[in-house]
Amino acid sequence: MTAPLIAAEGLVKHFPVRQDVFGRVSAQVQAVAGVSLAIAPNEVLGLAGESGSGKSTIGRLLLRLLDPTDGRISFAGQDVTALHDRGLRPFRRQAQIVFQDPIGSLDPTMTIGAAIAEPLRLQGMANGPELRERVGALLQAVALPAGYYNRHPNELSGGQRQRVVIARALSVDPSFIVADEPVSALDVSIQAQIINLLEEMRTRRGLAMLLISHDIALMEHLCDRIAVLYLGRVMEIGPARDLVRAPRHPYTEALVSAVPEAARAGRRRIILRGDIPNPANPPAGCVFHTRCPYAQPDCSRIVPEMRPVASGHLKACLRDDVP
Amino acid sequence: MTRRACGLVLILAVTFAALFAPLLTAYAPTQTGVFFLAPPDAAHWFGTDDLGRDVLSRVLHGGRASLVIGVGAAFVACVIGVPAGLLAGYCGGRVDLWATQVMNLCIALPGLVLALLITAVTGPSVLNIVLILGFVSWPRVARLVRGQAFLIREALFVEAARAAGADAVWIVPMHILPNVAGVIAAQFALTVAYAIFTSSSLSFLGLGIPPPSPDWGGMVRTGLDYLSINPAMGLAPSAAVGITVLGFYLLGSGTRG
Repeated sequence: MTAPLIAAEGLVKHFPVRQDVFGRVSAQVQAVAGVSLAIAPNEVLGLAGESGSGKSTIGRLLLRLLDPTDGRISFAGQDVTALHDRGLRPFRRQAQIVFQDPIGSLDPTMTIGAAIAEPLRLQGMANGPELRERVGALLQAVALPAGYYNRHPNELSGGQRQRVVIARALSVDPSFIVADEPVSALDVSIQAQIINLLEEMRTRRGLAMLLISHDIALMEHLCDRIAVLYLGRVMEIGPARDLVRAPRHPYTEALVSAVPEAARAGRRRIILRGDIPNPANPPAGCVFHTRCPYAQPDCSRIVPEMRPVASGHLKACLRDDVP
Repeated sequence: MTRRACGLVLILAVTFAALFAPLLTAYAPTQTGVFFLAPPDAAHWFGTDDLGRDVLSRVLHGGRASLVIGVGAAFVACVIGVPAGLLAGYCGGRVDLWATQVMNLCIALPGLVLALLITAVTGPSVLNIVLILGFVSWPRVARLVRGQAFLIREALFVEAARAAGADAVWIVPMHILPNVAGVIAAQFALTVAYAIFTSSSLSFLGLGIPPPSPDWGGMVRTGLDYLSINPAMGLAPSAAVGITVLGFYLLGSGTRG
């Protein structure tokens, strides 16, 4: 693999959930518990997992929208973990985000033009007529009429808003984008447009992307590699096709088997029993052992290390014989 | 008609009457006459007061002071309250804790009593009353703005702005303020109503604008003594206070928060 564009090492994020009378944290949730990832330039890494597995938290940590409890983040070789506010501005130009909710991510009091122009103004990249021109070009790039410049978000449909959000993210010409469930809030008929737009941006602009989703089929289509997350830990990471067609971790196998297409292809559907464990009190050993159909006594004692199973394909599972 | 429209009509009517008072009456508000305490008739619609002055003219002219005091006090309240509320709501944590305690302390003290005390010390003048009522009203504005800022701070579009490189200096004026503007406008109108009512109460208690300037609260106070001779002398300024306060109240409570 070439030198990574963005890399995270041993990322940990705790959220306090309870404080005692003295304001000390008495209980906390481990949203992310030691995750290491690297994304190469122009690579799309998918982040899969159930809700509550820490996918969005990782996206926000990578963009430094949240401060990690522990771990390091480096971007293009530079450590950005310790930077704050103005020190982060150059990094913010390079790394952008597209949120899941296109309604909430646009300020209702701002016009579409102002929303797209905001990152450019913040980064001091354009002003006056040039700014207007660039916003016009961006509207065109995401196939929105130029007349939308003075409209307000409430006049647009969900798909149009998401295109505004994408135009906004692209405005500063970033090299890395976190797309946090970019299509799950949209109608199925609109999803394809947005996916095509993302793909086009990637090929045309050479973007690297972290695609957060729970849609394995979509990720197989869009991503180079996929990382599967469970309870804030990476269970398996590998090339998208291999991972989806031949999962090596029991959890990935269960996730993949839940995709309707896979089920039709004659695969056995694995239904996980029980709920995702409480992240404030995760199980000992392998965190997945409470729901794993292949669990054996060792699984509740030993924390499995990430180990290679093929070139560029790693899993955190004690057993070699499954699935 | 909506509450807001009703309020607006009342406010416009009062403002019009106060602004064009000299054109609407034949008498100057301080012009005395020989017919004192006359009951209402065709020449003096609300009769005359104890010094023979036309009550209608005094009620209309008195609206000027009330409106200036009301709007001025609400302005002062917003000038202090909006930044304080934004700061507390956006910063959160320790800043918010202290700001909230100060607000609650001020809200716990009854506004009228506080205003009475300060006015007694500083002496009544239009400027003093504006400043004092503004000072008494700012915590309500601040508390409201704080709550809204606290909510909007968590909005996704604020996080999106941060992801684009924005800091507090950008986010507060560009995102938080425009989104609390509606609430501020509503609270502004309510504060005007409160300030007019409270300033009239102060005048009624003898701490109003010094005579002979016409002043609603003071007129009600004097009118009370002659209620049986010319009832309109006390009732007309009371009604004027009522209509004005109602107008601003309707406007404020009808505006979407």
